[in-house]
Amino acid sequence: MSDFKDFTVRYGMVIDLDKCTGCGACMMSCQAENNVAPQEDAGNKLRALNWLKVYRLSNGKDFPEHETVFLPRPCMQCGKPSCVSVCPVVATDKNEEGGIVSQVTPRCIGCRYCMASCPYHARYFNWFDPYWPGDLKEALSPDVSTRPRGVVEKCSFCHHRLMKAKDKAIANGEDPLALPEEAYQTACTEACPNGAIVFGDLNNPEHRVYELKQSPYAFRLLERLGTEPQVYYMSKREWVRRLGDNYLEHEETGKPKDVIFNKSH
Amino acid sequence: MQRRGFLKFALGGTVGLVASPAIWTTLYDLAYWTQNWGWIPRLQKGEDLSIATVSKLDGTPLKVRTVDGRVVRTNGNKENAYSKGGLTPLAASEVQLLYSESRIKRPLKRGFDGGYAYISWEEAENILKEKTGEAKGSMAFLSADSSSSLNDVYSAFLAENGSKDFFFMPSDEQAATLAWHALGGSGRIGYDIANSDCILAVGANFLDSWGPVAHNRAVFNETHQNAEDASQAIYYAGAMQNNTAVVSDLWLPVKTGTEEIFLGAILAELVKSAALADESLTSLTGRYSLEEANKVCGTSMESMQKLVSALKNANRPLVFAGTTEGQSQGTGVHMLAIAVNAVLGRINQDGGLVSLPMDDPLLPSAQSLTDIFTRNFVSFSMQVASGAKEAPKLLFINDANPVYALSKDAEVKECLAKIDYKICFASHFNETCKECDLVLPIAHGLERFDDVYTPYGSGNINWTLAKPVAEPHYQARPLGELILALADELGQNLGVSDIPSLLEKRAQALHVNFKEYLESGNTYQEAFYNFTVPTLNFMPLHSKQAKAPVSDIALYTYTNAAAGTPSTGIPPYANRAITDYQLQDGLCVAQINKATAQKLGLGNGQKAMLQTKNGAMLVLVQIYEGIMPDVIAVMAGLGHTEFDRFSVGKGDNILALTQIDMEADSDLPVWLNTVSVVKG
Repeated sequence: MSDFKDFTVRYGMVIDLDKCTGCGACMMSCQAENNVAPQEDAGNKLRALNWLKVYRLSNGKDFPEHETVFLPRPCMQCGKPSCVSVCPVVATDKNEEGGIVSQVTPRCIGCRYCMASCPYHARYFNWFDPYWPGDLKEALSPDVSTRPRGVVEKCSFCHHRLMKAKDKAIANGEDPLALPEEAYQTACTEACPNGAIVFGDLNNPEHRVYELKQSPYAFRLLERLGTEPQVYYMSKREWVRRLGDNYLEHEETGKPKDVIFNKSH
Repeated sequence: MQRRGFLKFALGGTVGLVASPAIWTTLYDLAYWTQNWGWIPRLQKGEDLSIATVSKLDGTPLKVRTVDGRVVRTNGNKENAYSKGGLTPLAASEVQLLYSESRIKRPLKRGFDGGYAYISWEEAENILKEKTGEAKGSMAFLSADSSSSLNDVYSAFLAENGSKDFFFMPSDEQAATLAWHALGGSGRIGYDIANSDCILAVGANFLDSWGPVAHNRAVFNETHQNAEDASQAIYYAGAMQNNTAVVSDLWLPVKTGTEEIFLGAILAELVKSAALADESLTSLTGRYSLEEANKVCGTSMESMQKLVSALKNANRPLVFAGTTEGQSQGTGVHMLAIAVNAVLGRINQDGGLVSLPMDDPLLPSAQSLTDIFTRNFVSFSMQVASGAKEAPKLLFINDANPVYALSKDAEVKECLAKIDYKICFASHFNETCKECDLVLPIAHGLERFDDVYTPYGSGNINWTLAKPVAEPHYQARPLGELILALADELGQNLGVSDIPSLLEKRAQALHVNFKEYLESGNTYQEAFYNFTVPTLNFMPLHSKQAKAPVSDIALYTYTNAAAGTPSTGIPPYANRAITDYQLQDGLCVAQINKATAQKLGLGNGQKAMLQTKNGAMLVLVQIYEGIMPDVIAVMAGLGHTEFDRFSVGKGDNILALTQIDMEADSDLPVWLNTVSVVKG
């Protein structure tokens, strides 16, 4: 695993799972924004490619004690990215203010070591020729290059939007390292009608994520692995937080046990 | 080796190599690995614009990005106070639907051999004129979208040609409106979700696919601030933990098809503790009880009492019922929901059930919604199919897909077979187009002037304008303009010259500036003002016979907004949003809980056969504990046979399998939960 890479600006998300209805608007927006080619048979989950994927979680109990939660999973943009240290061709790196783990697809040789090392399954191999049948290619955004078969892809926190926001700040004589929250937002954050995804600079007290990540209900996926993800989740339900790091029954999470959601029947 | 042998070897080797795929595969792979990717689309830059409009699929206000005239993306409109910038999955798919392979490119005419041939628009217009002239007085029109002011053009055209048979596809809106009017209410029925502090949604998946979804979800966002206590409680009653249930404060499992008994029990409990003088309500209490509800619906005493207590103690409770999109449970369930609101004193109150004005039509000979809702297409279709009603000579179908969306019980194909000439106006080639004689490509929602006027589920009168962000692709034409031109050809004056003028009439009726709303994409919202409590008569409820389940296992069909509508098919990007608990290995997945699985002798991953009198369907079983016992859930929206590669070959169509019955007094279709399940 790489050493912890800290930056003045660390972009991250806090995803409130108690507000996510699992509708998939974030997935659709992500594909359209980033020119992800549609897949005819995305039902084949072993071959489907998702920069952002919504999972359905269960508390594991039988009816009527059962609860369901939906969890959107982008790239975690880890502080200690396990994918970076294994890449033999430096196609993925974490070396820029903002802390976004890059993926340089023209450099990628498709060895998939990064996929094996990513504990979040956030990386996907491009098994098929990208294909926009008919006139679908008319809808390609001019912001993100299309990628070929044989390379690994992943969420980039809509990095092109960061570049645009920084350019605009520089042109206006403003500090590109102190962007206001609304200047740079990812496509999935903007799309979510429930406001379940909050995005901003985790180090900036003026951004909502700064406060939210410190909530007693906030947690990170597989936090004890030490990957230092820049994506936080939030739920008032303790079972969700325990599931986030596979806590054993006897283990304490060090967080409140309050189950605010009362779903007894 | 001799010379001849060498030549044979060289020639054979060359032919062999050229014939084998080795060279070409190597060259192809070389292109990848050397990264000479000429076959990857090059990005095209150009003038970058953001144009405000609204999604005609679900009423989401949009900002559409165009680059060099190409439509690239739909974004939410942050300046719009109604949706606050949110984007639904369906609205996010608009652009891919605009450029979809399933778009109808030119007018199609069915030939004698049953196949289609491209014809010119000139020929198509001649056929339209000729058939309309021949069918005068014997025409019908089916439309899928009740929120468009353009329906006034269509119904006025129909009236000018001597017919009143204008229909919408079946909906909760029709059932709720008829229920409201039967009880003595007037105007449109509305639900002020934004100002309620406690919502009970019975079957209505209002955070995914029921009502003005983008608005509903903007309200949810505001009332549920991150990490804070919510200012609005949500109670969801339904058979499965669906998109709304997972974020609600309490999920009340209610067996599908027993919603009337459930609401009746709540009504009886509330009436007990309310000082009511209304005999038509108090005399209903003997018909319902919590005990009966628990036995029939599968609820528990504890959760029912908790719900009743929450409704009593809330300041601004609101109760409404709904079904899977495009279906209905008849008027009974809506009458009971209205009765519960009445007992709670929530009719025409802030955050309650509200009576919105039903405007006069914009054109002199157009029909009002009230008139249109007195007729229903399922009844029409069944009567025509059986010969009980004379078949019209000509049927217009506007972007509706009844052949796919309606149960086989509705006998749509049989009905269409009896109609002399069927003309389908559609953007995408769907299952209904295939049954029609003439298929005409109409402009997609992003290519035309249109509007969204107070969609069902709204709590106030609201209006958002749609305008073209691009010229119609291929040879598509806006239907409104086409019908106006046809009327003109036939020497009929509908009272308006073009669609923008019609929409201006709407602006004038609302006393707002047309150009301002057209430019900004804002939603006009009229403040609710009618606080007069209407006198309702609940006697019609006495004649209702609450329905009990008709089979041991109840079928629950649910929709996933991301998976499109019957008129759109599955949008290309939606394939990734369809999960492996909805579709697997080309088969629909049926979800049941462990107890039901044991009862049926089924296990995870096993195949089962769902059977109704309309046919059978092979499904894969998946155990999911977020569904109540004795209920089997299957997603609707799969099993298309038309549209494009992203829709075809994916599961079966559960909507066709579902059985329907007709409600006695309203003659509305009621979708049944009947199904039998056997090992596949």
